[in-house]
Amino acid sequence: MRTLNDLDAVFQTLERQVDDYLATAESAPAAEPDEVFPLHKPAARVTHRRRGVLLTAAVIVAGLVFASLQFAHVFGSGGGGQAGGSEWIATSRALHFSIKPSSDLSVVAADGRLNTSLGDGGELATVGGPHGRRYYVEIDPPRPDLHLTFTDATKVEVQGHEAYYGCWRISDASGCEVLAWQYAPDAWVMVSSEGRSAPVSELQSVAESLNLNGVTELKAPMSIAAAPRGLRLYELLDTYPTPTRQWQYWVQYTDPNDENNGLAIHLDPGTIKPWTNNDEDVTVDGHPGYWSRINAGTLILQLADGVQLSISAWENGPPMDLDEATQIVRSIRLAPQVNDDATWFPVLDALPD
Amino acid sequence: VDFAEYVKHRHQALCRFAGVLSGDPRLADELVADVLGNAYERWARIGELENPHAYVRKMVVNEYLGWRRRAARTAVRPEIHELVQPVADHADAHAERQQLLGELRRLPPKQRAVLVLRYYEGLPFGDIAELLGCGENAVRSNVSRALRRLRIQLTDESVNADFPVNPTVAEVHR
Repeated sequence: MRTLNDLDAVFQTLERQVDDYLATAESAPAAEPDEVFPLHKPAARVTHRRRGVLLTAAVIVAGLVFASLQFAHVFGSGGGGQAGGSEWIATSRALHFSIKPSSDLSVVAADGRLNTSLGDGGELATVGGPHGRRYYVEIDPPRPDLHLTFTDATKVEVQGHEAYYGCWRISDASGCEVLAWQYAPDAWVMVSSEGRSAPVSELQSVAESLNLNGVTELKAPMSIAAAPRGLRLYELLDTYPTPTRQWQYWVQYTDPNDENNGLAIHLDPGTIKPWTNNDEDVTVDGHPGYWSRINAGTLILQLADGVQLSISAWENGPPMDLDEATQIVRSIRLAPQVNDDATWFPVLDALPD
Repeated sequence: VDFAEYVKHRHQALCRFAGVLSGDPRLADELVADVLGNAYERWARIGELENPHAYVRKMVVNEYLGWRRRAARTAVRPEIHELVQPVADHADAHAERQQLLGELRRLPPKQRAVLVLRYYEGLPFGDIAELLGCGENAVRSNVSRALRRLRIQLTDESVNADFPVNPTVAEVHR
């Protein structure tokens, strides 16, 4: 078992990495303006921004304002891929569920844009209730290994399920004043109040207002015939629009037994550019692109309809060569009109795990 | 406090904090750049605060948890491995540290934030709750879950302590 000293050692490692990075950035040549804000490039190689803090503050603010306007526009129209309105959505292979606020509840996305997540992480949403009160709703996907137990708990009922209000314990973690119930075998929802004790009736009221079993069809702009390398689907993520991209989509695969072994597949509208000076020009099935040594191998391709695709093996993981990347590309099928989310594929069919 | 003075004295500490928070030196650099850019616009008010650094630190956390960073956190990270060489260490210890580092990077953002605020910045639960705009119960729950995921066992001393077991870190960064 680890101790906090191990955590402290990791913190110190990260500190050193930052110091090394800053030293490298400091010694690098000054950037051209286009390199300072490479909005047309993937989020990489922004090595010179630090020294531009003061002079470029206005540019940053202007960019953020513009991005915010784009963000508001998409949310206002209820569009933006599969996550519309203020609904907070999560999914797993086992089920789809969503939180749909009732008339007196609103869902405040904890970190803005909604995301879909696969894996064992669970999700946490902040729910605003009557009189400005806020509650936490944590939803975990099915976890047979969780061994959640309750102490000093009262049995109540939520949405026809047996629920518990009181103190919970999982291994060495515990908490109190929580209302929890199983929405599916080995899958738990926990509702707690923010910053104060709440009577069970209040938490019950919030819990009853959540729609966890509504059918929400999540979609993806691409389908992948088989999980590459025999990996497991780890995360799918649709992200906010930017001034240059109306949508972006990531799919990540990982090996449950080797956390360094993973692949990221990224799709978004855009025009490819090489990431490093050493990137090699390649063509895969008629699509021009670059093969890069960044991470453990990255292939970037320009596809039809102004869409760029990148496939990247996680750094520190097993290297990916061009042949393997090409095979993965050939297992990917784009939606008929990839810039129109109405033509996207249902996630559960499109992304086998 | 004058903005330029603040940046001069606190920039590295902010970058380190953002680096521990994000697990990515490049992203940390961007986070701090964006936050300082925003802080500069409002420095007339921030500079008058009793503790401007606490406010700017809160801005860093919010920026990290904010939607603008979600893409960057999951994007491929080219060249970082070229810039940052592992520190020489005993092989097993290094491997273990790398594993813990990987697990830390995979924590949900909020769990990671509370962990860093608690055990790197050394903040009491109440201060973290105030900083994140949530309740102490939620902070404690997130800390517990994060520690459980990282398989970190608290000692009796650390359970009962208001501050982290490593006082040097807490003192340096508070």
